[in-house]
Amino acid sequence: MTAETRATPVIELKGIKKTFRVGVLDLPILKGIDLSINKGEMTAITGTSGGGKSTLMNIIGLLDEPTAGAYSFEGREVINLDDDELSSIRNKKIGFVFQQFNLLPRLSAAENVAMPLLYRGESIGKSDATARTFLEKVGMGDRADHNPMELSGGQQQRVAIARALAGNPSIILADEPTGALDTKVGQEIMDLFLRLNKEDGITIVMITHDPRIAAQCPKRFNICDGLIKSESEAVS
Amino acid sequence: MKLYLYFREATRSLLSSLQRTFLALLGISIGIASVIAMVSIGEIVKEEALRQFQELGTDFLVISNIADETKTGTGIIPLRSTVSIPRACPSLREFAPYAVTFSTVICSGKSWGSSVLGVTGNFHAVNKLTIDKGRPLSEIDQEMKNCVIGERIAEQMRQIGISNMIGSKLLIFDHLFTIVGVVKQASENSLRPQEINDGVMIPYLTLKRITGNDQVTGIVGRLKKNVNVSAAVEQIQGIFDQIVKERKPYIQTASELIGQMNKQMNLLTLFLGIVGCIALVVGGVGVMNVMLVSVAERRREIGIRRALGARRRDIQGQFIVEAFLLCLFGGLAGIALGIGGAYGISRFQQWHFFISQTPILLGFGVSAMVGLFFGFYPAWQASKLRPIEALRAN
Ligand SMILES: Nc1ncnc2c1ncn2[C@@H]1O[C@H](COP(=O)(O)OP(=O)(O)OP(=O)(O)O)[C@@H](O)[C@H]1O
Ligand SMILES: [Mg+2]
Repeated sequence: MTAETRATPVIELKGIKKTFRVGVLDLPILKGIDLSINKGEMTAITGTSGGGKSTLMNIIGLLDEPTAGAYSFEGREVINLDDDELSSIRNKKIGFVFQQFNLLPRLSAAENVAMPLLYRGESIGKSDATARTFLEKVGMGDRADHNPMELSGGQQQRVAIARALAGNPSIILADEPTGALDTKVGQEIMDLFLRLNKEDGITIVMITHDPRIAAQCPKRFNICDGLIKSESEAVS
Repeated sequence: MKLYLYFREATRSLLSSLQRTFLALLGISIGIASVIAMVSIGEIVKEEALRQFQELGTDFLVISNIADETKTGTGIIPLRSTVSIPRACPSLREFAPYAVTFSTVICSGKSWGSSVLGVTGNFHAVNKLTIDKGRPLSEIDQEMKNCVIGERIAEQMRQIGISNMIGSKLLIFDHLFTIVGVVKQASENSLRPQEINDGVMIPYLTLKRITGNDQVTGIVGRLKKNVNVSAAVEQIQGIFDQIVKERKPYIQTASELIGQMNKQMNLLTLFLGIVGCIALVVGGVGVMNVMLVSVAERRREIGIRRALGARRRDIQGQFIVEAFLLCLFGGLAGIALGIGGAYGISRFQQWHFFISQTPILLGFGVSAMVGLFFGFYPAWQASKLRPIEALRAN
């Protein structure tokens, strides 16, 4: 890893606050998060339920805006970017993996994986070929033409991971990717993430409830009461 | 623009909820069908109305209100004074004066009240009448007691069992007349004297001799080719205004009437078109409703797409294409339905069916517009959903 890439984190958050307005009440959920994630890192975010993990992840993923604070993505200020620019960053630089898989039900596995490429303007033929390579990579090559309904939870999550990878993003954001799966299948998914991180140097941020999953990540943040309570980095 | 992508996604979603799609298609196609059927019916009715005049000829003309019907004997215009008409009215090619009186007509002991027309030898030809049986009256019948009967008298004779009318006798003005011909029913809404269908035609001079009545009630005529109709009418009006002081002679021409008719019928078509368009708007609102429900149901899908990097206009494009496809196929079905409907009604009413391109182009144009118009709002709603809100929806 060169000094230059180490110098610019993929994600850098400073003093991120998020307050939800519920009726007349202002609910402060994030109260000043400082966080930076470097290229090639595999990070787990843990914390109490309702502590604001998903809220933070949505802000990192440019799906939601913070109430206050600074956010630079690969060195570029992203607060106040217009919707098209945010869409473009999501499309090219970020891969999402959700707890509920969130595959589009009417499309086959391959078509789901190809979707980010199509929004990028790639041809159907080219994106289909790319999609199939990535399905191969997550061990779903033989299910490329199946509908999500015909796949098990673990298989759907593999397809979702292929979809997140297909666009060659700078970072994968996974919100409880193993949360809807049983322990064995969850561990298989975790193994896939670990392999992708180790072999391909993919940067991954993962929210998890499961201490056994979190323990496998070299870097961990614990969010409590809207702040980062503890940060630990395994020496590797 | 990623049109291929929008089309693929739109087609998938339309095919995946067939019931919703079907309802939307139904609404839009009924709307389009009613526009097309209404406009077509309007055009067909117009053609139908004009046909009756066209069969009569656009050069046809009637001069009326030139007799004082309260008097008997010699009227304002007696027959002999009509010989000067060609000189006075150079635009007239042909003319046939006639007199209308009333008499009891007795046949085999039955009697009916009936109009009696005193006609000249060319009356039949000028009116373009068609003979059903026998022959028309001609100049050689003048002063003879021969008559030609119209459809009403013929029907009444048939009812008393006389089927072979030619040669039968009728007692008119207490004189015995021989029927030499029966005329076919002349179309109702034309300018021809109404009495042709209702009454009996006898030679003018015969009428004059036995009743002493000599007043021309009306003149039917034909204009020369290529004359300016309104100028000719004005000139003829001037002449008759001079002759007939006590009252205002009316001059009606088929070509003017066709013009008025055209206007009225275009108005009818417009009105029917508007009725159709209201149905179309209802159909369009149906499409919008279906699209809005669809947007609400698919919030999560929209959120996923936004997370994958779809821009607002990608979401909008997909939904607009969806509405557009609904209207396109709804439009096609509607055009078929509309033409079928117009055909059915024409068949039932025994009108000559035809379909012009106007309603079809109108139908296509309007359905595309409706699709875009009513598709736009739901699509815009879908596109302005914030990604996070869309994703959180179930
Ligand atoms: N749009 C919103 N409006 C109001 N409150 C919200 C909104 N989104 C989140 N919250 C609240 O913010 C808090 C944090 O939510 P968040 O989903 O970030 O928690 P979390 O740490 O991911 O919890 P879990 O582990 O259960 O997923 C919760 O109390 C939630 O009710
Ligand atoms: Mg959460």
